[in-house]
Parts: sequence; C-alpha cells; structure tokens
Amino acid sequence: MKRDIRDLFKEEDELKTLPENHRTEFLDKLKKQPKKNTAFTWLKIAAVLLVALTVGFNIFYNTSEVEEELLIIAQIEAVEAEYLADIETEWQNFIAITEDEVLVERFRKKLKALDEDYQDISFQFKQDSNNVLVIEALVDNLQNRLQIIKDIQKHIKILNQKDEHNENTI
Amino acid sequence: MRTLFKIIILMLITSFQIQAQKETLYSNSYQIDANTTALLEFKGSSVEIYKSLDDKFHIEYTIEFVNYPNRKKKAAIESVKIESDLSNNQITVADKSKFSMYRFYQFETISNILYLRNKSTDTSYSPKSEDAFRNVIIEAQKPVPFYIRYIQNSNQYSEDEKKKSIEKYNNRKKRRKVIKTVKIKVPNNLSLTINAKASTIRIQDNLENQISLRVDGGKVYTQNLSNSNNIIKMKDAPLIANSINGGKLILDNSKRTLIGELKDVKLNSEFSLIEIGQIKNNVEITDFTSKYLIHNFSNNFKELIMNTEYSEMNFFIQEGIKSSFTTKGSATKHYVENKLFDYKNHKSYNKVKGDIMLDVFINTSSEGSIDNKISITTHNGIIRISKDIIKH
Repeated sequence: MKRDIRDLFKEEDELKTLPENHRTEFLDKLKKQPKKNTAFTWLKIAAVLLVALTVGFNIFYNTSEVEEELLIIAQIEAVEAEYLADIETEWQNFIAITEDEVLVERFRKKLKALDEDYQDISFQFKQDSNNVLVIEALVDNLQNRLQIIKDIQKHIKILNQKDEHNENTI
Repeated sequence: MRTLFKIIILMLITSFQIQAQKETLYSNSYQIDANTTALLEFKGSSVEIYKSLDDKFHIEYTIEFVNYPNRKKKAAIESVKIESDLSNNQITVADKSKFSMYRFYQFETISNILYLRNKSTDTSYSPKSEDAFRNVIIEAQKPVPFYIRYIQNSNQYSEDEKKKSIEKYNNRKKRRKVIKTVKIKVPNNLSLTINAKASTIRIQDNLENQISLRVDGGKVYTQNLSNSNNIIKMKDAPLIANSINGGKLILDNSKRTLIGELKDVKLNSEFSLIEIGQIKNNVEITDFTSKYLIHNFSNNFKELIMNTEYSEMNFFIQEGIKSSFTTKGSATKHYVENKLFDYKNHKSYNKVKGDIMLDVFINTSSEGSIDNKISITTHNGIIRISKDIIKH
C-alpha cells in the first residue's frame, strides 16, 4: 500500500536523534588526531618551488637564448651591409688613384677569392649560429677585405708623394 | 627524514657543478718503418705535435672539462669523432668532430666582436735583438683565451680598461671551459702531410721530419723545423715559428707572421705581414703587396734575394754586419734613417746600368771585405733602412 512520502521522512526523523554530547565527543576526537609531519610538508613545498623554478628558468632561458640569436643574426646582417658599403667606397677610391691595370686586376681577383671564402663561412654560420669562432671569421674576412684596399691606397699615396727632405748620402 | 633531505640536497649540488675532469676519448699507436708516411687532416681542431720517444706513431684525443655542467658534457663528448688507420704503409688521421661549445660568451661580447675594427696605432717600428725577438715569439706562442684576445685587440677600451677587464676575467673563480686536444707523437723518420682548416697546430718539439703543411685559417705555432723538402703553405693564418730551416714557405694573407730565424728557404708571399728575427744563409723571397720587417742578419748570411711588387720592406741593419745592398727595378721609394733617399742624384746611381736604383755598401766601404749581399728587385716598392727606429 502506498504511503505518503512525507510520512516516511517523519518517521526517519523520529528515529535519528543525535546524542546530547555529540559536539563535545566530536571535538575530543578531533584533538586526538595525530598531527601532520611538517618536515614532509616543507619538503613538498620546496620540491614544488624547485620544479616551478626549473620550468620557469628553462622557458625563460630558451626564450632569451632564441631572442639573442635572432639579435645577433640581425646585427651581423647590419654589420655586413656596413662593411660591404665601405669596401665598395674604398674600391672606387683605389681604382681612381692608380693607372696600373694589372694591379687592379690582381686585387679584383683577391677580393673575389675572399668573397668566396665569406660565402663558405656564412654557410657554416647558418648551420651553427652559436659558434663564436665562425662569427669572428666572418668579421675577420670583412675587415681583411677593407684593410687590403686601404693598405694599397696608402702605399700608392706614398709612392706618389712629391720628393721632400731628400738625402743623397748613406 | 633528515637522510632524505641530505640526499636531495646532494642531488641538487651535483647536478649543477662539476670539478675539472680530463678524459682520454681515443688512443692508438702504430709501428712504422722507413717508408711509412702519415696523412693528418684536421678541421676546427686543436693539435699538439711532439717528437716520439720510441719508433712508434702515437695519437691521443683528450677532453678536459672545467666547471662544466653535466647536461652539456654528453653533447661535448658525442661531438668528438676521430679516426685513424694504418693501411698500405700510410697512417691516416682525421678529426671529424663537430664544433661544440657551451654558450659561455656574453651576448655583449659577441655583439661587440661585430663592431671590432682593429686599427693599428703604431707609427714606427723598433729594432729587436735576436734575444728580444725570441721573447716576442715565446709570448706570442702562449695560449690566450678568446675573451682576452678580443679585449687586447679591441679599440673600444683604453689600456687601463683592458687591464682591469683581463684581471677580472682571470680572477673569475667559476670559469667554465672544455679543452679538446689531439696529441700526436711522431718518430724521426716519418714523413708528415698535414692538412688543417681553421685549426690551431702547435709543433712543440724541434722536428727534422719532412713536412708538408697546408693550413687554411687558424694558426700554427712551431719550434724549429729543419728539412730541405719541407713545404709549408699558410692561407689566412699566421705562422709563429722559432726557426724555419730549408724548404718552401708560402704565405697568403698571413697577417702577423713571426719567424725567429730563416735559413735556406724560398719564401713566396702576398697580402701578408711578416716579421723576421734573423736572416741566415740563402734566403729568397718573392712577394706581392706584403709588409716585411727584418730585424737582424747573421754575420755570414751570404745572400738575401728579394723579388717584389708593391711591397714594403723594412730593414734594421746592425753595426757589425757588412753587406752590399742593391736594388733594381722601378718606381720605388727608398728611405734611409727615415729620410727619403734620392737615389737618382746619388753617386752610386748609374744611368747606364738602367734599372739599378741603389747600389751601396753597408758598414764598409771596401768591396773586398764583403761576403754578404742584399739584392732586391722591386717595382712600386717602399724600402726603409735604419739602424734604429723606422717611422712609417
């Protein structure tokens, strides 16, 4: 026979009654519970911090390393452009002050050989942009090209200087 | 709990810091006979060559870590690839290692390199005695860390700033480095062919072996090399040598080459800067656009022959050296004791002899007492002669 569901709960409510001192008993039980070991807690916190720091450091480090490499590549391109412009300027100055076609041709050949070396070094740099010795080789090559043209101009200017302070005795 | 704590701390410490540690990664030896030859090939290598104490050829590859992090050690070791073999009575050695370097260099150092524009501020050359030049070579042969070399060559810092930077660098307690070295020991009668690219070669003992050395980039430091069949070819690399006795020497864009003594050598050069401590017997130089600085001559050097074009030749002539000094060619400026020497108006100038520009005696007026000759054929050259400082 069906019964009113509300009556069912009324009956259960009558059955379930809390003891009068249940609060006191509960608090006592709570106090008796063993304390957590704070040493392990400390270790757990330290381990979490360590992992967080390591992950953070790696992310930061890798990001900053990549950024630095990109910056170095950009700088190399800028420096290369500057050197090549200087080399061209000095080359024009050189061919303007000499009439020696054989000399000009030998220098043209030398610069071409140095440029081919530069392309090789650039290729190495693309494969390994972290290699400081390759970066140095790139700069050395550019400096060298500029310097040999400047040196020969200086040499020619000395040869073309009008004779002064002549000495004719040894 | 305490034990666990200690273990964790120990793990943390050992994961970050490693003390200096040297390992031999490869080692081999070969018995040779009178006909054995050796072919050594290096790229980006650091090589030390010694005289062998027995009749065997020895090779050893070592790697040394100083304060190097563990996580990078494995990569450094794996980058090493060295091969050697003895076949058909020829020993072959090839270093095919990949370049491996932990990123020690500050970004600032690298980017400063890009703007490094070396400009010599020297306006004069000073004479050096044989001993003084030997000391220059000893100093030049000392290994210099990359950072210190960069600081020394940089024009961005004053001398005081350079000194402080170098001191700071040397005093850093936790400098990290990896040193990879190929050590080779060669017996006396072994002919060597060495092909090296971007490598540092140090020949640490005097060698009389027949050597064919071809270098493209990098550096060569050597003690005395003596063999009339030697061929040494340096391209884009300086040679710092105690002495070269015999053979051929070819220098192409070899800046800052220092040779203590040169004897019985044919030297071909171009686009180079070469300083020679002492010219001994029978040296012949053919050159295009190099700068030469010759500090001393031996008493009986017999003859120095030079054939040059657009070269600059600077000679320090000591008091006791007697020699004739003859130049022929064209369009060459002569400076004696820093004054332009007008050879056309000098009593020695002989229009009949055509292209002879200078024909004089040094430290003597008597042809009979001359055993030595300096004979220079030069076009568009600059010649400077002095007992003391040469201004340029």
